[in-house]
Amino acid sequence: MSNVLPPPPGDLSYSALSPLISKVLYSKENIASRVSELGRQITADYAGVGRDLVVFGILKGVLPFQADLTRAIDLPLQTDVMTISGYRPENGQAPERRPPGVVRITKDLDIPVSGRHVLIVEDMVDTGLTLNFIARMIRQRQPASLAIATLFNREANRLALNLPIRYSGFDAPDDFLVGYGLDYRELFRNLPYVGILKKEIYSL
Amino acid sequence: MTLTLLTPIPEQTALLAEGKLTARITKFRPISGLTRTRGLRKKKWRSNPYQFVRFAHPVEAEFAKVLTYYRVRWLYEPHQFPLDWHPDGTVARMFAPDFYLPEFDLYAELTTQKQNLVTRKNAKLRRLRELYPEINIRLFYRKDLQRLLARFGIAVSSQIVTPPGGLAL
Repeated sequence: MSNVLPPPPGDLSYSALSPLISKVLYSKENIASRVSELGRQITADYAGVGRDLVVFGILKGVLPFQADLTRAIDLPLQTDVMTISGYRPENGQAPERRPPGVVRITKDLDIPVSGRHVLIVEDMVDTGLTLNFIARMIRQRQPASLAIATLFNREANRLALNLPIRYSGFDAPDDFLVGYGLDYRELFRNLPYVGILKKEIYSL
Repeated sequence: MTLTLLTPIPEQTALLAEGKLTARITKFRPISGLTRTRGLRKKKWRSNPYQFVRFAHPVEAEFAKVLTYYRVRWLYEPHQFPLDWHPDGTVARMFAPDFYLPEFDLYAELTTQKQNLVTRKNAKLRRLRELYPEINIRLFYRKDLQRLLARFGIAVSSQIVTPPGGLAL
């Protein structure tokens, strides 16, 4: 089967999507280096907890980061993933006429976390609403400790002010980021770098 | 034929003095229709509280829905903060942030105006922070809302521009 896409120009190998990105913010190498640093830091901090470290992420955006981070942590640990139902508005209806939904866990953890050290991995913490829900629920299961590692942290829009974010890769700028798990309408997740989506794509 | 004399009608004041004229109101039973209306209203509130809040802008309604979705309690414009006073002591300028989130003790103010038109709002916010430094408040500009709500698949503006290359997103 012939390749329908044109040959990749350098690092921007996803030519179908690259015209929609105004700038590559963090290259593959930048991200790999920062993830390794975070891995070393976490290894040092959790060196004494034995096998009691549970690292889990919230699908789907976290997949590349979780895969790289857990491999950068030089400790015995258990990993898991959780899926929650994302907010999906029904188009074509005025907001006040739509019945409100509530977030649901569509895939819970298979590993028990009670009495263990829990590290939640997230791709980006923006308002913190998702993580607030997850953290509240995990606290009810009484872990020994709870911390959050995020690749991108954007504090300007934070609503949940009580999140235990201990590890943060980059301070995210005030732009719409895509790539390395971050999506716009489920696209761009597979880009190896993180870029800024052109504004005209998601707004007027 | 003998006439039977009827007992005279007692004066109200006399009855009151004797304690006979007590206001005896039989237990009020709401009419079944009223109960039903209240029940329906409650049910309707539970199913969709947004019908009972008059949002100033559709974006605020969307924001409220996102908060509810993530099980965060919110109050819409619950408090007003005086910012300036007339010489006679009456309030000249007030500010009512759009949302209050009790769980985080945080106010959120949304603005959909373009960046160059938000000067007045910024000035109000600065004044609010001067007068009430203990208050946590976040201002969401149009671009913040666009980006934030785009994450949830909501366009702040109704128009969606086809991206270059014609890729339908």
